[in-house]
Amino acid sequence: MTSTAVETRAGRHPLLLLRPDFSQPARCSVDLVTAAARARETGGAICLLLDGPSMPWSVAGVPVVTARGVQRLWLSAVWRTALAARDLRAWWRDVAASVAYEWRRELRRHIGDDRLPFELRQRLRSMAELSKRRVSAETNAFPRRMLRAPSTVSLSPDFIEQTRRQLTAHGITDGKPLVTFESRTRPDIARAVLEFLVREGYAVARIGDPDDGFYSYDGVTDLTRLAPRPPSLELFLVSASAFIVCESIDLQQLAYLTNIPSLMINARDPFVAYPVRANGLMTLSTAVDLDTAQAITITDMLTQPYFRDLHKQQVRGRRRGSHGYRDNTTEELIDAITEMRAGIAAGWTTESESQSRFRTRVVEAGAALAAVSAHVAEWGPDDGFIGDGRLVRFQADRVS
Amino acid sequence: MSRILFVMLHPGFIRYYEDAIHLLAASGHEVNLAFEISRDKLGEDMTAQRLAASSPNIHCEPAPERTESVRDFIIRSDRTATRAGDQRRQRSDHEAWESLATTVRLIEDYLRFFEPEFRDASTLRGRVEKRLPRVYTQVLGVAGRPQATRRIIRAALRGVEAIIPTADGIDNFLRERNPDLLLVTPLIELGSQQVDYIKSARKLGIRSALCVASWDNLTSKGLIRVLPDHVLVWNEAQAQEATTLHGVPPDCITVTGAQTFDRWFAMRPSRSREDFCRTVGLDPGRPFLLYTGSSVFIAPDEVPFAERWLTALRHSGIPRVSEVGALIRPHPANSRQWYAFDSAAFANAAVWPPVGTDPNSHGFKEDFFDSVYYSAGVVGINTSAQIEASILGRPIFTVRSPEFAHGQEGTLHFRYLAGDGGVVRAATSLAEHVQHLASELEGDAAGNERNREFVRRFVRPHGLDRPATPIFARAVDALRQLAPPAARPDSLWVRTARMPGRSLAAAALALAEGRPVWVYVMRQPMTLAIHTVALGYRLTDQWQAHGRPVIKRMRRVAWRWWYESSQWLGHRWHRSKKKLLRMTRGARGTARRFVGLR
Repeated sequence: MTSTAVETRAGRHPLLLLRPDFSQPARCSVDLVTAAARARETGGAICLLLDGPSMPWSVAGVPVVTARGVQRLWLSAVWRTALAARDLRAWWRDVAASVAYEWRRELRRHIGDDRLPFELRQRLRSMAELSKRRVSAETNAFPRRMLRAPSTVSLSPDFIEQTRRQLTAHGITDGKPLVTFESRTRPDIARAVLEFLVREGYAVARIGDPDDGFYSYDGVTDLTRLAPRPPSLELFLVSASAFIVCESIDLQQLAYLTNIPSLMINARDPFVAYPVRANGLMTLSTAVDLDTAQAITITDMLTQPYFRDLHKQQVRGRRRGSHGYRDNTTEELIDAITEMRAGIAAGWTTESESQSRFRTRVVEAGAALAAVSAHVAEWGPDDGFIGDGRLVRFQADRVS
Repeated sequence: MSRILFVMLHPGFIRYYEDAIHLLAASGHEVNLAFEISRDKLGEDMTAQRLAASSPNIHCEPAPERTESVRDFIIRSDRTATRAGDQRRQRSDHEAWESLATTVRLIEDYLRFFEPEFRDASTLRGRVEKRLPRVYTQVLGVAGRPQATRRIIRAALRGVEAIIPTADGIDNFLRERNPDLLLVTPLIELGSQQVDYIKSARKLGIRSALCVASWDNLTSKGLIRVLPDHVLVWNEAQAQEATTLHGVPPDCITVTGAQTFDRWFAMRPSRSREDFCRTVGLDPGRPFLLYTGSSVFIAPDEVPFAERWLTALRHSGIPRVSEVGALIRPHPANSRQWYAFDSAAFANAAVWPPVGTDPNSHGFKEDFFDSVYYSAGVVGINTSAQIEASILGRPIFTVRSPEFAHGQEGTLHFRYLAGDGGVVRAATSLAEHVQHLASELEGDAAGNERNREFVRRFVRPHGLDRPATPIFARAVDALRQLAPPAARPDSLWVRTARMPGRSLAAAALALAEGRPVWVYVMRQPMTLAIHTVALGYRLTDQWQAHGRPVIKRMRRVAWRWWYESSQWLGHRWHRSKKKLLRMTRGARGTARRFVGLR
């Protein structure tokens, strides 16, 4: 996942050109936060290339300018050219990777030909290995380090007012702290967790895909069937929440924009889900090995065979993998929410030894797997940094 | 005694015809079963052994081995599957023809799913697409859409199919067995090679028939590419499918009923309800619903749905529904995923038989029967267990869920269950489904009548009291008694067209690898370059082995010659020098004497 921000110069000052895509709030938030971090690093400014309405947020500590007139046209052209060049590079990389891959396959056909002299076959083998290394050389890593520092983005008062009116129309008022809940977990578990949150004094807004079998009740506003659902609604909901409980990576990334604590539940991939900021928590699903019917350990979820299987299912569209998943139980989720609340109250100053040990394990596993898995290279540690967030304590304690 | 040769894809198809085969054998026919592939996923090979042991008139054997199976074809187009030394393998002419045959048949199957009746069947189309190399799907994805081009391509494919020669192995096999009747099932597998049996039978003048094994065979798989002499189907709906979708003339179709379900009419429970409930772990005091799992194509990820279903039941607020027991019966070929299901999380729910139970184990069928017999209703996504439930008169339910749309609305056979005259009450949401359960668990006379009508139409079209197995056996016997058709050897134009067809076959064999076009363009120059370099290596080797020692020897000889000659020359020179010296000295003395210096 790469940022769409383009770095240029205006006179002597570095300028980061950005065209936020409001229809993709998660992508937009990652772009903005990484651009702000980069601008702070270089002492530059962010220049927004907006087609429609003005930006609904502001960034503290970084000058944000909106280009107009001829300047806008020029900067737009620069931005488009830079992105086109980036796309071209990516395309070329793909073509080169494909050619290298096919080249390797052709070489392999000859390597096994015992009519060829041994030395030549050895040479062909080393050429094939070389092309293999070239294929797996480049990936776009998720910019974890750029997202690390708490962002200084805040929503504009006009936007807050406008969206608040929308939410009030749906029954969400200011009286109680809000929790945004997004999950397709078993309805009975979701129900118990939502009841717990309501009992603890929260108002809950449920978003995400509509879920057949879900029953709404007092204190919970179901926005899943709201149509049309403007993307800004999710953005506001997240930023107005005391914390979010989510299952999708998009929502977790949206929370980075306004530093909202996030609890990611039922994660299957410890690298993708690992929270970047200290106010992030995650829980992992229980993975079951479908050959042995045994639940695998969290340590096993950091191994190459596990990722190979996950990759086959998610990327190559295999209908069946070697692993099944059990959602987190009600008790586990309530434990996680309790830990989240304690973390918010304590300012995320402490973590258990098992949690920091798990982080080290993830970094080590990521470094080892990045060489063989493009997926881990993309989502794993960014230059040795996986995140300041943590795995929930009860699961971290289970990791030997 | 007459000979019937029954060619099956694998021994798993025995279960559809077991009773009919027994009946034919008991009537004095010699039944030879030939299996194209052996399969032991669900203990099918054991079933074949058991069947062969049951009667001296039944013989089971493997069909002749093929140069290239459909599986080989698919593996070759797998992007990661090129093996070292692949080019060293000698590729026979025959392999190329088989590759062409598989390609042509897969393309025909692919085009089929562009027809208007399959507009919702994108997953079925995707299933063929995965098997075809990309080079074809890229072209056909565009060219296959208009009806006119589809017709042209199909006509061309039929022409190509005609010139593909029959396999010598199959011809010989049929000649040796010399059957009075050749039965083939299922024939309609994607890219099926069983077509070659029909072609060989036509060539040799052997009467052939396709036995349609299951209810979805004619709609969710491939085409009958070369028509056999007869087609045996379950019911009028399948007869209609055979005519409209596969172009089988109506007078070649025989409706026999679904012989595979006959035993469901005769079976009785193997134990009492209390015993059964105690065995499976349900409360005997309450009625239970049977959830029947579907195949992997229909429901690859069924567990989350089943969990939502159970939760909907438990939280329905209707005592009759919320307290009902739930028995989950995984599909035998899709059971592994149920390891992730935690039945303990739900009261009065159980999975039975336990995941991984061998379908050939003692009591497996009885368990299934008891599960349906004692259930208050049967729920499933889209599975033949719903037909079995209709035979026992149980209310049957389904829920149309977006995640299974490809396996419900996306298949034609689902309409027999849930369409007009169907036997399944289909809900659009779990809430509606709960209402259906609440109303029908009470007992529904209209539902019973609906079941009976469905069974009469779909399972026993000759009458509810007339088992299909004897009708099937009689139909087979009647076909056997018909005079054999005239042998149809290859015509002159077919034999002539085979000459250029060879290039087509070679191209199909190469393209089956599914590589980018530039690879084929580059392959020959690359091979040439590698072999040129290899020649260099060989020359170096030859030089090292032979040239160098010769040079060395020659050098040594030269050196010796030079040495010896130089020695000789030196010696001569020395001697000459001495002689010269002597002569000089002599001359000097003579001169001195001459000049009188002394």
